[in-house]
Amino acid sequence: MTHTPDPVGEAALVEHGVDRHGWGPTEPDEEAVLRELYGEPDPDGIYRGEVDG
Amino acid sequence: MLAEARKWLGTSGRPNALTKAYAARNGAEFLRAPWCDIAVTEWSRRSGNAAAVLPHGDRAYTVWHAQDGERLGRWHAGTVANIKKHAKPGAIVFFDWGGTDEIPKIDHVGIIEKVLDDGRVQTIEGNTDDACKRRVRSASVIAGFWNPPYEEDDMPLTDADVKKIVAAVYDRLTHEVPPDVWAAREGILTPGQKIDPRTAWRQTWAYGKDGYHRLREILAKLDAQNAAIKALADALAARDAAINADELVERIRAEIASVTVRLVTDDPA
Repeated sequence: MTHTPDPVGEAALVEHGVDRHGWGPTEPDEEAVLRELYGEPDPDGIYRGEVDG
Repeated sequence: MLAEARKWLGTSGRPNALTKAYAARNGAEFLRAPWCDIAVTEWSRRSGNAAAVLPHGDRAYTVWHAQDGERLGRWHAGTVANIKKHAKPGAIVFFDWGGTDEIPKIDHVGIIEKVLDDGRVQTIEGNTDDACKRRVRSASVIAGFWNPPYEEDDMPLTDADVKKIVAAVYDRLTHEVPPDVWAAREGILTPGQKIDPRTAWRQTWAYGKDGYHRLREILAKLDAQNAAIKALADALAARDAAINADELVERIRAEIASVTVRLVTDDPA
């Protein structure tokens, strides 16, 4: 697929229209849910476990 | 798509390999840009799913990416009912931290890895706290989502899906022996017994093999009986010259052929 940089300036829209750093957790039980699905996170807090289905 | 996204869990900061790749194609201004949709774009390209995920080419601006799905007629507003009914692993899910379902207000994007039973989703997101992480999100922050038209094999079944299919096939092909069939009356099968294809094949083979051996025994007994008749005829011919042994044997065979006999053999079982 070929792509031409957007002439209206996608980068500017991204900078002003997209959350700069993205939000963190929004669910209070996120850690519990992810731990149940994937086990313990790595030292950086990343849940890398395999999908259990 | 999901397999590619999982490879990037833990990626953080910027520029990173994802923003560098996007910037190489679209301009250096993307090197340090918010990279949630850049991640989705790169994962789709690297997994061979660009045609499904990027119908209008690379996307870094989430609003445009949501509109791509809307133009395809695949957009679903972020309600619990829609999530439960339509959301699939691999769906592109868009967030508005303000809580609306309005595309122009979208702030962030990720992909759905798992739809939870309670109507929430578990996602993989780039640029969440400036890193790639798994998250859990609810309809309260989901503006909407769309399911890309992945090729059939692009979203492989989970182990749980495979187990469900195996169970369904087994159930479909497995039969319960009714009480009034011949095999049940003969005591070969037990009424209520579950017969699956493997069991049926084994039983067919077992009884076919049993029948073959019983036939061999019957033929052996007939050969022995013919030999005994011939021996008896030869003995009689030896005592009486008027007796033709061969004619006597033929007459006995003809007589036997004209009557119905019940041949009883021992049951090898």
